[in-house]
Order: sequence, then C-alpha cells, then structure tokens
Amino acid sequence: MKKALFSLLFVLVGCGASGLQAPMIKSVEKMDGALMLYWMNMEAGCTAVEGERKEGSGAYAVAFSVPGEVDNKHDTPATKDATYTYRLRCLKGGQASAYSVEMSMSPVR
Amino acid sequence: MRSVLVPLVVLTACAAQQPELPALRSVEDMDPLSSVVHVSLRAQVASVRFGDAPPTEVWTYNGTVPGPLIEANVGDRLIVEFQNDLPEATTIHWHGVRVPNAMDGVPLMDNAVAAGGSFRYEFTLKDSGLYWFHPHIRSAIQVQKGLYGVIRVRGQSEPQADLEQVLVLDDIKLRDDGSISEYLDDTSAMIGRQGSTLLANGAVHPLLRLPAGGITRLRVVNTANARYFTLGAAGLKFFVFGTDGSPYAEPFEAETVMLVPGERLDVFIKGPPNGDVELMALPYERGHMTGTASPLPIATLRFSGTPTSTAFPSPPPAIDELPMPASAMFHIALSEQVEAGNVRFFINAKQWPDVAVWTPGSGVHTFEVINESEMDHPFHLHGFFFQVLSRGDVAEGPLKRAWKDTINIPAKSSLKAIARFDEPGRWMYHCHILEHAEGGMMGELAIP
Repeated sequence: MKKALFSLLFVLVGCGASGLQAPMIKSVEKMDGALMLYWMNMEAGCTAVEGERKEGSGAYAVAFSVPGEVDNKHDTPATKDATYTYRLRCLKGGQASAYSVEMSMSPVR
Repeated sequence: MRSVLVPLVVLTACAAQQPELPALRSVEDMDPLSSVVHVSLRAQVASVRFGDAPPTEVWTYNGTVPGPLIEANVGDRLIVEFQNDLPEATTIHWHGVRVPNAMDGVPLMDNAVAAGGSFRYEFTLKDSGLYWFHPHIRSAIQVQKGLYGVIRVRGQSEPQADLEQVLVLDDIKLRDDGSISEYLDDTSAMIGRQGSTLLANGAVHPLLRLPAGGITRLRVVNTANARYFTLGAAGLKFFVFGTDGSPYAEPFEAETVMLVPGERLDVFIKGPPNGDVELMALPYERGHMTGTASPLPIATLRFSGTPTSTAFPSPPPAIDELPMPASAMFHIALSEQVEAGNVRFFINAKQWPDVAVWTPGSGVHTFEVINESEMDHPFHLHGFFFQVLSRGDVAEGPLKRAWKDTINIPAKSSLKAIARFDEPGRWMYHCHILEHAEGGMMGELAIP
C-alpha cells in the first residue's frame, strides 16, 4: 500500500517540482523568406514566451516576446543568408524557466 | 505492477463522465399568430464551462453557447427584438437567409447596435433550410467568444427520419485559466484561429444517442472561425441530402463530408444495430501544412434501441436551373501576401474597403472566383444563393445542383457560379475565415 501511495505521489509531483519548465522547440522552418518557429509550451500559465536569436556564432539577443498561450512565431527579420539559432524560455510571475534546447535554420540555404 | 495501477485507477476515477449532447435551447415565440415568430435576443456576457477547463467568460445570445435555436416555417415573418448588453457594438448577420438589405447586419448599412442599444430585425423567411446568425463587426473576436445561434426553417415537405438532430460545430482556443485569448499569433493570422478544443452544441466530446438501425437526420453547421470540419465515422456512410439553401438534385453517399466555416450540410445516417462510433474531425490540407494535424474526436455516436424500417428519403424535386445571362462574367480574384511581416488578404489586388464595388445590375449574372493563393478560402455571398456552374474546367453536373451561399475554393483553383440578384442594396461577399475577412478579403456587390 505504501509503495502504491509513493507511486501516486511521484506521478503527481514529478511535473513541476524542479521550477518552471522550458518550452520545447518543435521546428524552425523556412517561410516567405524568413523563419517560422513552432514550439510546445511545457509549463501551464506562462505569462509570456520569450525568444532569443543569434546569427552565426554571435551572441543571443531577445528577438520576440509573445503571450504565454502562443506556440508559434514568424520571425520576419531573420532573412539573411545566415544560420539563425533560437532558444526560448517561459516567463511567469517574475520568474523565468531555463532556456529550451536550441534549434537552428537558415532562411536561404 | 500494482503501483502503476493505483495512479491509473485514481486518474480514471477522477475523469468526468461523458456529457450528453446538449439540446439547443429554444426561444419563446411571443406572438400567438402561427405565421409570425417574434423572439427576443440579448447579447450578453456569461460564464460557461468547456469540459474540464476552468470557467470561461463568453459572449452569448441569451446566455448560452450556442445561442438559442429559432424555429419557424417557410413564409413566416420573423421579428427579433435585439438588445446589446455587450461592452461594444455588434450586429446580427443572418447567414444564408435572404433578407432585405437593411436587415443584413453588416457595417455597410451603418446599423451597428451600440453597447446598451437595441434594434428590431424583421423579415419574411423565404426559404426552408438550416441557417445561422452571428455578428458582422469584429466578427473574428465576437464569434470566437460564442456569439452564434441557429435558425431552422421548415418547408412544406420535409424528409422523414427516426430522429432529427441539429449539430453545431465549433472549436475554441482556451488559455490555461479558461479565458479566451484575443491575441492573433502569426499562424492564426495566416490560417485563421483554430481552437484546440472541439465543441458540439457547446459541449466537449459529448455523447449523442441515436436509434439503432434507424435513420437519423443530422443538420450540421460549421460556426468555427477557420477550422474546416471533415467528418468521418468508422463504418458509417453519410447520405448527403442537401446543403446551404436546398437539397441536392440527387443525394449521394460519402464516407467523409467536409463543411467549411459558415457552411451547412443536411445528411442522413443509418447506424449499426448497437454500439458506439466516434464522429471524428479528420485532417484536411487547406494550405500551410494544416493537413498534418491529428484526427480529433467530436462526439460519440451511441446506437441503441429497436431497429426501425425507415429508409433514406427519396430525392426531392430538383431546383430550377438559372438561365444563362448575356452579361459578362465578373471575376473575383483572391490572393494573399506577406508584407513587412504581416500577412494581408486581397480581392482583385485590393483590401477591403478599397475593393472596387461590383455593380452588375439586377437579374441573373455569372461570376468566377479565382483563388490565386496558397491556401483554400471559403467564399460566402450575402443576400443571394448561387448555383455552381463549374469547378476549374469541369462543369458541375445537374445532379449536384443546389443553392449555395458558402463554398470552398481550393488553393490555386477557380469556380464559376450563377446567381439571381433580385434584392436591391449593398451586399458583401468575403472569405469566411473570419481573420481573412478582417484582414482585407471582403468585397461589395451593389444592386440598384
């Protein structure tokens, strides 16, 4: 019985005990000369999802911020013949999640 | 093993029981005359629950989503005392109903009902069929928030069935807290807002009880902002009897049927002797990878009871073919373009309200809708029905002749149609993906 209760607790707590969950980038695709990002929100109730972009081996900078329920962004400034890399995080109640796993794509090549 | 089972049992025990398909609420007819239907509609804010989600603030007609079902007979006078208790202006557009121009509830007529205001809609119902009503101001937001209802106009000889069921299909995009987002993300700006939660008569995945082995008449309307509902149910065939404003000259069987936003279908199904069948929304590629979505359940069809001997209805008398006019065909070209990061929608290379007015004069005229864009668009004509003449180079057979007011124009394709313009006024035509209409894909037809 104890073992069963432990299992139940594990199931219930495992989702969010380690802080805010980062979004998961599903894909970065070419669209209309720029790049289209699709992601999955892993944390309920994010107030915003912040996206950072870097060009080549440059430094990351905030590229966009959208409401927390949004799961896509057409990054229309990303139009150069370069490789753009993205990472996302969830913002909620003054806290921020870790960054997502990165994903890269070129709008040209 | 037991430790895995315990959480499963706990989760299953907490799962909500599948709701019954809600009956559409009727609205009181205040006039004792049988030929007059006099009702009150009040646009108001309300709170509803969609499935297990937290309460959602919605905009409603008379407090429910969908709004009430207005029942009438062909030839009846419909009078609607409308009160707007929303915090912003609205109108009621009677989708598919042939009304006098001043009753059409569009911004062209400058008769928007201000917050706190009222308006009396009054007209004669000329045609039998299933129609619906919704706002035509900020419609992408107001319809999404729940403002829609249904009118069923009965004709003199209706096809018989063991059960007739109106099915109002919608989808809704809810935040985690149950609220409806007004934010238009980039994908929604392109393909229109598609919700992640499907609704049948306002309920999430309800149970619809149907007579086993009997004939059910399903009268279906797609009220979604943008979702194309392609319906399929394993082992069931749809006997497609009619569409927007009339039966087909010859009904036909199909394993799947599609309704674009705004469109209606009149289908009959014959169920198995007993058992459950899932009515599914199947993926359909209407551009921009929309076809990669997973199938979604709409409702469970539960067949039970004693089989009946009711048969599918006989074909109705064919509607008259409109005579070909001598006038030149008018061309309506639909296109889209991304400019400075924003997607824009055009008719004849212009955006509403800069689209040149089409002035064909009264009488019978032909037109061609040419979809130059990369995705499908559901074309809707106000005030008049039309008959399809051809799709691309393929002539429409006489057996498929029907009165339409909303029809899909697939990407990179065209459709020719014919209509009789017999009601003066300024009428709109537009894409019925509401975000596209508000993004510019609307035009005007003026009849003297």
